[in-house]
Amino acid sequence: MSDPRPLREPTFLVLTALGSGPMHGYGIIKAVDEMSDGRVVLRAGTLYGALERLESQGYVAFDGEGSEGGPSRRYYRLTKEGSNLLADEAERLASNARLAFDRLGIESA
Amino acid sequence: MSAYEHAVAWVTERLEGVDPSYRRDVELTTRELTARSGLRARFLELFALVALALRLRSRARTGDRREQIWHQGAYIGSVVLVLALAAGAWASAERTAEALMLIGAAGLTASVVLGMRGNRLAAALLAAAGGAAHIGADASAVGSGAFATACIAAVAGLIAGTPPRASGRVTALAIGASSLAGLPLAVAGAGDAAVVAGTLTVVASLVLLALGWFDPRLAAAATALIFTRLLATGLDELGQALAVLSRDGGGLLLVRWALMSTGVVVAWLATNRSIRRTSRL
Repeated sequence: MSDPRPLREPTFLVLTALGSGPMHGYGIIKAVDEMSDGRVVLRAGTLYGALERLESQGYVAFDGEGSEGGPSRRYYRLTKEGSNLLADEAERLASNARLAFDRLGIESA
Repeated sequence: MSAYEHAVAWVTERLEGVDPSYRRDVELTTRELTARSGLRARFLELFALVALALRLRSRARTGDRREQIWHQGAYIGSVVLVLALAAGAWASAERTAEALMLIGAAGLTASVVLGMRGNRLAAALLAAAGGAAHIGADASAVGSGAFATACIAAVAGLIAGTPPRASGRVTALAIGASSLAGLPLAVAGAGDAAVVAGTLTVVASLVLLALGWFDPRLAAAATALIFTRLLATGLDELGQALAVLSRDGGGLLLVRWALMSTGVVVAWLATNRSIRRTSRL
């Protein structure tokens, strides 16, 4: 199930968006846009493709349908494996960032 | 509903291997995202949806199993090859109007329809019979050797490959009828059967290779097509090229052969990359 390769940035941000709780597709796209300051623009086709891959590999699960006064939507949540994957990837990125700051003699925040 | 919304609904209805609420959600999200967008953003959203549909279709029909992807790709490539041969046969038939040629072209077209419907043995038999009738009508025609080799490769691909889900009757008939494109090509003086079939094979390979980025079966189909073209014309050309090269140093045929060989390798690599991409996070 685990892929040793680093996560692609959109996937990393999708998992990060789900880190705070279940969300629907539109909400994830908006959250990714906000978190990346508009740098990563997810198309619906790209997002649902990523969600389908993450779901089939057990990192994300369907969390039922719900509506907030509008049409019914599918919600997704992180599974335990998904949380571990996100934490591992965040640790890897942080470790690389620390390494770069050390080499440059910059004190990281 | 606008034309764009109709297009979005049409694509999302064709998402395979997912439940209806998933389709509804994809459609809703796409419409909301592009509610106030311009033409370019809408086109990009639609393109991403088509890519998703292709990827899900490949997954639903092959389970992302490498062997299934190659088998179905070989079958799709063979049907496309018979389609190109049928167009070439119609082009020749239009010029000569010989009964045997017309029978050959009709046989190849019927093979495409049956191939699309998933009747691979009947399709293989008709492709063999149609190809034989076409070649029998004018065995001395330029390129008849290449036409025959391509026919044999197509029959082999239809027998060895695995048909994907059968197409609907109307779709199969429409695709079979598209082989009649050979008629205007002949009127426009596009050349003999082998030239028309060869040109269409190259065009189809490029289209399949591009779509194969999302559906690895189509990249596999492109690999099969380019390999067949190399088999049908390339080996003969290699011999000619080496002979010409040893005589007067003309290397054009050798360059063509090298390009085709490179095409096979590129298509094979693209297929493998597309297969890996389907599960990459």
